[in-house]
Amino acid sequence: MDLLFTQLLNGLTAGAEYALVAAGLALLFGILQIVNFAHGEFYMLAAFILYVLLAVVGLPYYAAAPLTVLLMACAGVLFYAIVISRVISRPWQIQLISTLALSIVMINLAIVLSGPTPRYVESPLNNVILDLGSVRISAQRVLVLLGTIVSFAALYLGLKYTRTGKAMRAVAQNREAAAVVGIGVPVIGLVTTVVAASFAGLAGALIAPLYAVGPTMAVLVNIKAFAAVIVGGFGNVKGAIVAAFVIGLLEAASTTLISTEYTDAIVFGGMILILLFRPNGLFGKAVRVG
Amino acid sequence: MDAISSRFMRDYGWLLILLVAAALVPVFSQSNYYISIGINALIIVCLAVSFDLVVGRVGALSFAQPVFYGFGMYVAALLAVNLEMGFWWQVIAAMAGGMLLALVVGIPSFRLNLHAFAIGTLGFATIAHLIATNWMEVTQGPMCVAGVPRATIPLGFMEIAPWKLPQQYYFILTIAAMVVVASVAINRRKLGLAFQAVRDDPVLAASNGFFPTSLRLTAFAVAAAFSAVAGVFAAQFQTVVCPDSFSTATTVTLLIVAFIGGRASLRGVLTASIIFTVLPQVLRIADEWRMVIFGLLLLVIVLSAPDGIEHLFQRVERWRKGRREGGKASGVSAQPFAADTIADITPLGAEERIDGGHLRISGLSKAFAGVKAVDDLSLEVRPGELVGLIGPNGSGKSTTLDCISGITKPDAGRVELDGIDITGMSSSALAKRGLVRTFQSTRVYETLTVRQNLAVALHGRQSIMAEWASYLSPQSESRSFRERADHLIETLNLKHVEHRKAGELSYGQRKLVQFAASVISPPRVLLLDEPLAGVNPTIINLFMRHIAANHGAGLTIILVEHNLGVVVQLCERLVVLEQGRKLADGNPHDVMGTPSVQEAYLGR
Repeated sequence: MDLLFTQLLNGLTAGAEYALVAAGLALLFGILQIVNFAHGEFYMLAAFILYVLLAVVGLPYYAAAPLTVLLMACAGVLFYAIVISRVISRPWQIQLISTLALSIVMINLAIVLSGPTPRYVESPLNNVILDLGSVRISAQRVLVLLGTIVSFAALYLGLKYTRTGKAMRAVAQNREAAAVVGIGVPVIGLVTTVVAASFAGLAGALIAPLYAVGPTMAVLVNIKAFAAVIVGGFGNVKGAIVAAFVIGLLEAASTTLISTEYTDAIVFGGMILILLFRPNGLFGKAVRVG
Repeated sequence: MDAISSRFMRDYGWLLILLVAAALVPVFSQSNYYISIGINALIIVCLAVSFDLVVGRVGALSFAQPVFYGFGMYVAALLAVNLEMGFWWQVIAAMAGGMLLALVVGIPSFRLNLHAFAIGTLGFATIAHLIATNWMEVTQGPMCVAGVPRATIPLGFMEIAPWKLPQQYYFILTIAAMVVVASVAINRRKLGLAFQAVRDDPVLAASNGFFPTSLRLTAFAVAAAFSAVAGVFAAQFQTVVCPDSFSTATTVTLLIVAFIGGRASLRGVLTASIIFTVLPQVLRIADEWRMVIFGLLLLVIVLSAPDGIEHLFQRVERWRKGRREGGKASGVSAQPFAADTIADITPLGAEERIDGGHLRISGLSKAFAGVKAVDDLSLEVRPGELVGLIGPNGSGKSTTLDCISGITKPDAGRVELDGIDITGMSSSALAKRGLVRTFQSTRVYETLTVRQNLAVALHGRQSIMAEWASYLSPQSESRSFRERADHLIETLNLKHVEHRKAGELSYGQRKLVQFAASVISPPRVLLLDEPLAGVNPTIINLFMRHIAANHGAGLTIILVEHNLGVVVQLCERLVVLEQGRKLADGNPHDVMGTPSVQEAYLGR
């Protein structure tokens, strides 16, 4: 019972990590049709920002975490200005390679600047253990799950009810038509990029204290988030989030039941299997051509 | 003879010069250090040229190329260490295994759209790396397969001694030259044109009778075989094979070479492979900084000059050409068009009659997200009939054509061609049976010339056997093609642009090219989706005469069109659709007189 609960919790935490990254990826893909290979590295950057704020600047966690999200939102503005705005109307290979190049630069710059040794981020909540009868859970994990739920609820409501959210959905459906009715597509592009980067920031602020922080920490996370976006149906944000949690839980299950080494192989194998039968993802719709 | 040799020198001279220069490297380098840099550069040349076959020529961004290279290395190492197999057996095993692996990975991955294909191949690369790291019994994981014996390579007339670097250098130079020659050869044969067609527009390629997935798989498998051979050689050269041979560093180098060189540009890719393998070694840049610099370079190049080095080559060429011609105006002057000069428009193969197909559609339905685009539609088109299909926007005309031509699968219903059930067949298979369509959103192969557009369309329409049997024949035009193409180009007033790329043409000219491609090999059923939308009266006139001529020769035609004047004039029968259902069917005069049709059309 205890083991089951622990594994369930591990699965949910990993799922939250993938979901926070995948949500940004799905937003960028769904609204701007951009595949962002550097998105995982935003998560890595956020984790390093948190590390610097805590260990170098010496801020308390409660101040450093929100500041991390804010700084990542600023990074989103830069990302939009330097990369996205230049490639948004270019062929998809160009978009993909430009973000891949950015990811390479970020990873290797991190290696040069910090060395390959992992660092650890201390959060006071790591040491607060909540005792729930037979099971014990660290307060940081509770914060991760709560933060994830709250942020997704905010995203959902924002997309559904605010004017900006409606405009974002309009751009997702048809960029030209949205521009014709007076929606400022560049502004929506900027907002989307900032929201996506903030979610990566949130992932770093919440989850970095649980895992080691290092230059390549996000490589696999990013590929799994991609798997979630694909399985969830290309740009379908809800689908991607659900798929991310499924992947997290599947991993926890296969770690317990099968083997640790091949967990990742099982996840990607599963992704390929699903795509064999549902080439448009689980929640995707067939696209009309011609 | 002189002309041929000078043409050969113009086309291949630079490759020969490059080869001679490469061959001289060991002669002039005092130390083995430079020779081994050269060997590494040549391995990258092999990989980059095969990578570009997939990324540049068929336009599928794959991250799996280093996997096939690593696969070749492991096959060689394991066969040599465990079974003591000789070099050539290793090559055979790696090539065969690499191609098989490419099919296993490619068949499911190419079902996806190309975005997902890219990510899928990245997943595959990750799995391969995990297997190499964790399958201790076979690969020895991170401990690597060490002590791979440097095989002597028997060549028949001599043996390559493994410890002599210059000999190794010349051997890999030979392999690289062979890969380059193979790549050039593919590009110069009909296969090259078909690859380019699939890259430019897979939907159009399918409707011309090509099977885009088979062509992509061919490129993928050939590239895999090339990379695996490079891997076999690399295993002998390095003597240690580690999981890191799958590493992202190789992928990044290949991406940089392909994109900085300029996709589908051999000269660009070759130049970039040499620059980016030799320079960091010579400048002794630390590995981690090298990746930072490479990444930044890639970013800057992609953002500012997507054609990379190829772009520079083209500028130099234009400059030299400009100097030679002494500033002569090079633009094609618009040719005044006199409709009356075209005396008669006879369809292709004018003398023979076309054996028009018999199309029967029953109970056809198709819904998109709950909206019924086509609703229980039944329609029979007899051989040689010209039926106009009209209706307000959104009445299901294009979806009907999509369902007939295999672009979309109908939810229900049956389509028969000459009594054979063709429901759900791919548009490729249907095109081979003579059922051809044009698209409302005009589709042409933008990077091919007008003549090449026609040649590709003709090639795809052949039977599968004939199509694949002639892929390795040269691109020169056959006599029968030349006659057909000349006739169409002449009568469609495309003569002055026949050697221009279709992407440079005006909207109306593209419509004409698309139409010409659809009839270059006489179809049996032709579905025309708004051929006249947005073109000028002269072109309308051209189209009308061509449609009438093909109709006269016996071709079965369905014409979807909004220009009612034209439809009524051309067609002997009109079918009106509204909200996916048939509203009227009969001779144009009666149909246009029906009150319900007038209401649907004129909104009374």
